[in-house]
Amino acid sequence: MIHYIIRRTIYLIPILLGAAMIFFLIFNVVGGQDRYLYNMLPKKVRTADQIEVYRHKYGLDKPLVAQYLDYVKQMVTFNFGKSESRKLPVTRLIKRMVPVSAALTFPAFTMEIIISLVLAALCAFFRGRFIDKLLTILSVIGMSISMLVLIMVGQYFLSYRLHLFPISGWQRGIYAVRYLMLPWLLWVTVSVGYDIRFFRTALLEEVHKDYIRTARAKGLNETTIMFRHVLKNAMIPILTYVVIQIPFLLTGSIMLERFFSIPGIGSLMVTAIFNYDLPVLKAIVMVYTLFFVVFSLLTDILYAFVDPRIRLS
Amino acid sequence: MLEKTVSTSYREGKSPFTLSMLRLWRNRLAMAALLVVILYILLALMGELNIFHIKDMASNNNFDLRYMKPFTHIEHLFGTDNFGRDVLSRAIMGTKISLFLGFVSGLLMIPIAIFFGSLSGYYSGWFDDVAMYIMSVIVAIPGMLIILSLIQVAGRSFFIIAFAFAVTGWVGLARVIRGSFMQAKEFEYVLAAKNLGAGDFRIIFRHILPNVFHFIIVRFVLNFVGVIKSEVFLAYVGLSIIGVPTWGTMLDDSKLELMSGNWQNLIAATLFMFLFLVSLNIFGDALRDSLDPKLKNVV
Amino acid sequence: MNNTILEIKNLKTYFHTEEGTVRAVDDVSFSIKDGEILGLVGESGCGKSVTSLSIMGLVPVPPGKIEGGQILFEGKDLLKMSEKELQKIRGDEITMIFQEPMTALNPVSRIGDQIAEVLEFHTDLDKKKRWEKAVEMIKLVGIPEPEKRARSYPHEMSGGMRQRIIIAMALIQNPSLLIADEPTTALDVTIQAQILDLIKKLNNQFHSAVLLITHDLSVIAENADRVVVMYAGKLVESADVKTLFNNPKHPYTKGLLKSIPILGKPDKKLHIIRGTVPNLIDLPPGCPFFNRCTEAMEKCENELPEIISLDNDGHLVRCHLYRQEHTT
Repeated sequence: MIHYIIRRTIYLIPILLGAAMIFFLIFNVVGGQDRYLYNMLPKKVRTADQIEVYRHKYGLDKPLVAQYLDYVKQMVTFNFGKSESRKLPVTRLIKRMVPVSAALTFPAFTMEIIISLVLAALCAFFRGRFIDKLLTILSVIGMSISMLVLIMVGQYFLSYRLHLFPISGWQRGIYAVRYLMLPWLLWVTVSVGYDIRFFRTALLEEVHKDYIRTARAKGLNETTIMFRHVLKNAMIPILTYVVIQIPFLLTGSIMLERFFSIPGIGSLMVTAIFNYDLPVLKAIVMVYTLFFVVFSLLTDILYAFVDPRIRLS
Repeated sequence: MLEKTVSTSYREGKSPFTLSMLRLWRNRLAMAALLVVILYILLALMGELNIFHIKDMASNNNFDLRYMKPFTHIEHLFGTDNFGRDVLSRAIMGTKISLFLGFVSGLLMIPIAIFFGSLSGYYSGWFDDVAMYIMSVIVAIPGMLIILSLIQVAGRSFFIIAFAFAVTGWVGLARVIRGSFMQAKEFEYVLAAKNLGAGDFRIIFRHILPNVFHFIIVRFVLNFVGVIKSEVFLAYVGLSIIGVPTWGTMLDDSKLELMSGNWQNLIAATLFMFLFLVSLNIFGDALRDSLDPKLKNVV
Repeated sequence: MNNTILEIKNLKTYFHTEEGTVRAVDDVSFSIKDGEILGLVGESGCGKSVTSLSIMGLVPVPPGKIEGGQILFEGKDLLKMSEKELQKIRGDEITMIFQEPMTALNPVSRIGDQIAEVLEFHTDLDKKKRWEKAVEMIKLVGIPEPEKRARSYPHEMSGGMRQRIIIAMALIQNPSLLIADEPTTALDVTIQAQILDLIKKLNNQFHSAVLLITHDLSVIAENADRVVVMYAGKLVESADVKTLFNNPKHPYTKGLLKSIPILGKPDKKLHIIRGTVPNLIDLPPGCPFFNRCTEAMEKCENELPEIISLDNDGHLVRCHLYRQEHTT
């Protein structure tokens, strides 16, 4: 087990290097560096001399390999310099915005999972009956609506017309909840459709297995079978599904953050792409990748925890 | 002794695929959904061929007829937009873009996924290591970041966008194919084919690949859903295709028009998109259920 | 000792599938007496397993449905009972062993817990007592180190061991009827004999009646007291073991017996029943065995034979060949 964790942690290094490479290729080779420099610089300094100055300042006159190595060095020291558009150290920006995104995504995600798990269990328990069919139809409808439409309609009616929520904005501390209520609601509405269907399938796949028939032959009632046997076995795919989504929570929700002016990582990411603010993007890529790899490792460990058949080696 | 070969109950054998298609055919809801999808394709064709002047009405500005309300004029059923263009025609033209994006990104994605998935599942060894590495790197970067960056640096053209979807989309399918290949290469029928002297190429393409066909086709259908939703997202952040009406740009336009009471873009794009996505979802599910009988009897 | 514990009367269990209605069990009647081992034989797909699931009330509905008949357990009709009443009987008075021990146990729960769970639902014992009894039961079915085994998971055991665990589960409440549905088919030959011996031994010890379902006639010959032969969802012959093996009447039974290899006669050519089982969806109107029968007559094609009683000891056969003898 310890061995496995160590090996997987070491595997993190090539993954990080690879992620940095892909990212490096997109901006420096596909896009071309001149374009990058040109877009990044403020309008008044976009003269040939100034561009050369900046080219040297950012080390873009070095060979590509050296530039990539610079990037790697930045990753190791976690020092990405200053954001060009915001004039702030990248680390500070990230540190400030991750909690904002997390305040949006984590409560919403928790609610989403609890609600859809309960509803999916209902579906599986009353499979083929009215409630199951109704929820199945509703989840297909939910899966087919664009989030943008929901956001616009939700904001128009609930905030603009009914004044239930503030239209958009942000405040620090506990007051943030006021601004987060509607985004949470929209998030849950958009995602439960997918979840219900996934959980329902995971549960129903177990319902038809032989050991459930054995449990019935033992004289167990359906409720016990559902909660003690089915749910425990279905927990394996469900846990994977849930844990693997956690890293995504970190990057926030680009749409919700931009629409409701929530200063989180998602909106930071989009503006950084537009402004060619590479230091910020590099940091986001690294933080996200780290998170992703750590959480996939966590999934594997959880797996071994829930399923006695799996031994990590 | 009675020498008579009685075959009263002998039924002509049907291939699993034929049986699947029969099951699908009997599924009325799925057939209705397929019909809707076909209607959309015809609609897009009509738009492209400029039948009923759809193409013209979608692009010609007419400032005398700005912001015509929906359902008030029979010649502009869904009203007109900011530039006096017919919203219904724009939604129809948007259908074409959505269909094309889904189709092209699917076509780009599937060969990549088959290549990496089948070879790494079948051979394991160093190729598998390399393929797995590439896949883990791609999933370890937020997909949207790759898509947005690619479009930003390479331009907002149709093929770049389709390519961006394909680059991030193939990994999931490749993993499924790899898993199936790893299982299938141990199956008796594959070993039997090997014993009969079948080459690797033949085994991969004739014996194993047909068995993962259902994953591919279902993925192809559901890829449309993902792509259409992502296109809205791109339009919202301002990175969708320039110069053509898409459902995403229509929705994005309506964002500013709502407060002044102009709902025509929102209504038209939402209706078009919703009906299409519902149909695709229903058809995709039915297709999966009929092709994968393991889940078929799950009531 | 000779009380009838279970009586099945005209049971009809059909499956309504997309292709049509499968008459998996069609008008089957037989009974099991207290403490006896009744063998139920037939080819795969002849409805033996569906019969057992019907008794347990575990036929998957839909597509399956019990269309008619009665299953009287100690005089009460199981088919008329509510699900709650059935749950009280299942695992307590009627229990079952399944064909596939590899998948019949919950993979993520400990062996001991799975056995003790039966007691949780059928007794008032506390948790500790339940566990102790489970361990005792594991020992009884011949598994060494029962305390340690109770704490292990199914994947840590072989198929034979798992089948013993399932037997332990089935017998812990001392049931009046044990249904063993092909209990040895999935096991190695050497293990098969052990498991059957165990079932027989426990049948003596617990006085449970056993419904032993198998396609293997030698298993029946060694273990059963009486035999029911099924073909294409219908009962074709029923008798006590000796009568059936010495004096089979139905052409199908005769064919089956002739197709058993006999030790020490390697040069004897084995008999083959030609043809295949008819499709259960559109059965011909006559005798279902008609297309394979070597003694078929004209009326066999269109007229389904009645069940005929051949003697007073319950030798029954469904065949036109014996109709004359019976009526005269």
